[in-house]
Amino acid sequence: MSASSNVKEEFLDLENGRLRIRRKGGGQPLLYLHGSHGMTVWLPFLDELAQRFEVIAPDHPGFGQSDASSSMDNIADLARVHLELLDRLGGNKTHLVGHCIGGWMAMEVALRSPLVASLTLINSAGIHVDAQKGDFFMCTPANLPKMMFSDVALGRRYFDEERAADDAVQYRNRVMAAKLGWHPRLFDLHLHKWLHRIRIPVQVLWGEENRVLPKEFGAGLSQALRGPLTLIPKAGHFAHVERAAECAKQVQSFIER
Amino acid sequence: MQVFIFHLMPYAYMDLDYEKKWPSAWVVMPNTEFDPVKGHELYNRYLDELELAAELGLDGISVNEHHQNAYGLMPSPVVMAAALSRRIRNTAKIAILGNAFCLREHPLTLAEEHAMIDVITGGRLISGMVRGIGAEYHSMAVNPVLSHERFHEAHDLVVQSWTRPGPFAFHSKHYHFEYVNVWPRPFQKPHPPIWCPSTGSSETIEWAAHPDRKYAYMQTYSPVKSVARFLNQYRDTAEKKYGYEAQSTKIGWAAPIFIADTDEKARELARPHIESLFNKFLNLPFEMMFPPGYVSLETARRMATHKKQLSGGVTVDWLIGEGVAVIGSPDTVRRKLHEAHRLLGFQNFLALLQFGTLPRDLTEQNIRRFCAEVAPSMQQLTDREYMGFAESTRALAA
Repeated sequence: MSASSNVKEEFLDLENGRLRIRRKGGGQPLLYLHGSHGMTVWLPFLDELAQRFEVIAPDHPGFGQSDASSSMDNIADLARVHLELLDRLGGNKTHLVGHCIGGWMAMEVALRSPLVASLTLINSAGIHVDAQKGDFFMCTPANLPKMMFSDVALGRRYFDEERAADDAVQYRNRVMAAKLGWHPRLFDLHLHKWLHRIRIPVQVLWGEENRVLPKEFGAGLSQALRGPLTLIPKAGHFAHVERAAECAKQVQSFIER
Repeated sequence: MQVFIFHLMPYAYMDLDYEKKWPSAWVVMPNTEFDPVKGHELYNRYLDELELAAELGLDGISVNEHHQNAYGLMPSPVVMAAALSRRIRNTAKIAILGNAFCLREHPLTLAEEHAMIDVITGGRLISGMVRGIGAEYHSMAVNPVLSHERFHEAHDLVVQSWTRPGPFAFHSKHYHFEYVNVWPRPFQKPHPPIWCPSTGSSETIEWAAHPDRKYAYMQTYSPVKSVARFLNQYRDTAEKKYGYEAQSTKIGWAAPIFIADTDEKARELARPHIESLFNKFLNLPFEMMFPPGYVSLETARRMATHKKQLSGGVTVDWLIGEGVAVIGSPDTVRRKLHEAHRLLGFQNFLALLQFGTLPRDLTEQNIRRFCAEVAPSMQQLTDREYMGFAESTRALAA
């Protein structure tokens, strides 16, 4: 998780406030939608993807360096901001990769936009499945690595680095994640019933040891979206951090198959 | 001064070694730990205690709301208020301190219930409005980020339902009603007095002191220095921000009280029970107490420090020294409360006369001694014995 070079940062003024995006690489555009913990430090997973794609990673409204408009009440609101982002980026066909609530947002975008070329969901929130979830809102910072990672030492380094980069942003991200996902906890009952309308290629990647959203959620999404489910061994909720190269390869081979 | 007895109705049979199994007596302690037979005994004992205090001449009784925990067995304080409404003498007040209207998807049901009690008692209800503590946003699955919005909207809805002729439509961000038309209307005009209990929140103080409301502010569970700071902040806010002089009837203090023959005896008798309240019943991990967005980051950090002082290893000596609890001989307790009144001028006092594991016999003695030897002199206190806001400010600055 070293600082990555050649990441370009810009700020776009959209209807609901200023959106910060970071970009790297070249090729077909690929929009990466981060999860509930935000992304202060650029990820090696995105470095890998940037070798083949033009990776575009926004901070969602209310997260990171993006503005928080009080009108951003739910995941669909944030997805609509990303629709505006897609238009502003030139209206090109774009691949979507979403982690956690970013995957939830990606589904909402895919339901509304003809510009989405493919969808990769990594440990994605958004639907309800009868399986025991982990409550990260109740989790102490000390226990977070254990809840989120298979490799706890790596998890500890990851969260330490995020906090060191910007502690106040961590709290901001947490509040926004709660606003969007506290109740019902990380799903929208009205999303599941329309997922059959997503007809682009979809794949689901899941950390085999995910304790926040166990793999039953991956199976549920895979079934609803009629896309393959790939379990990533020795990985938890942050599979793309723990198994960056493997996850990037899955994205690339799925898109280029 | 109005003097009330305040009860939390703890599950006094809680296993005090629970921390080996669960991190808190809230949210996650399994309800299999609650024995309904013991609960039956406790509820009736606690109701007896409230009835006794009213019979012995206090101005009223007060109950409060907490959910899914061993700290307080009143998820619905309305049930307790109703149980007491025809049992206590017909001049004693019933203060629900408070109800978390905003925890409900449907605050009108509470508005109706409060109106019922007010009508049954001929206007002896005091309605406390609170947000509920952080743990309750976990237990009741209400979004903590929306807590303030919901609190303000629920307040507006309830007050309008008590005061505006119905039916009328009410629409806010979280609450939508085509027909607001509460039967019965409350007995008191324009509505039951509204009190705001808090452990010290500038936002609550500014909201309560606003000229449109002028609601009474009750400071709970705090070192006496903090009580002074927040009660004076209410007067200061009224004067400097809103340009009026706050009445002493608009502020109050709630504190645990224990009385025995001597200071030493009171301290020793109270020790295990008062320590169980703060160290065991009130033990809330940070994430449980402060879910995201329930308070601002700055407040969360400040409260974390405050909470560290109050939980996980406080002693009876610390509680007495800081004035969080008032424990001692009748003379000592009376003197300390009179001194606090002289400094702060509050016209409402809420005595927590049962706390933690304090058993029936000690509680009854405590109630009897407080009602006989301390409360009567406090009830005589008026603004004449108060040093005044200007002098109080100078005294505290010194």
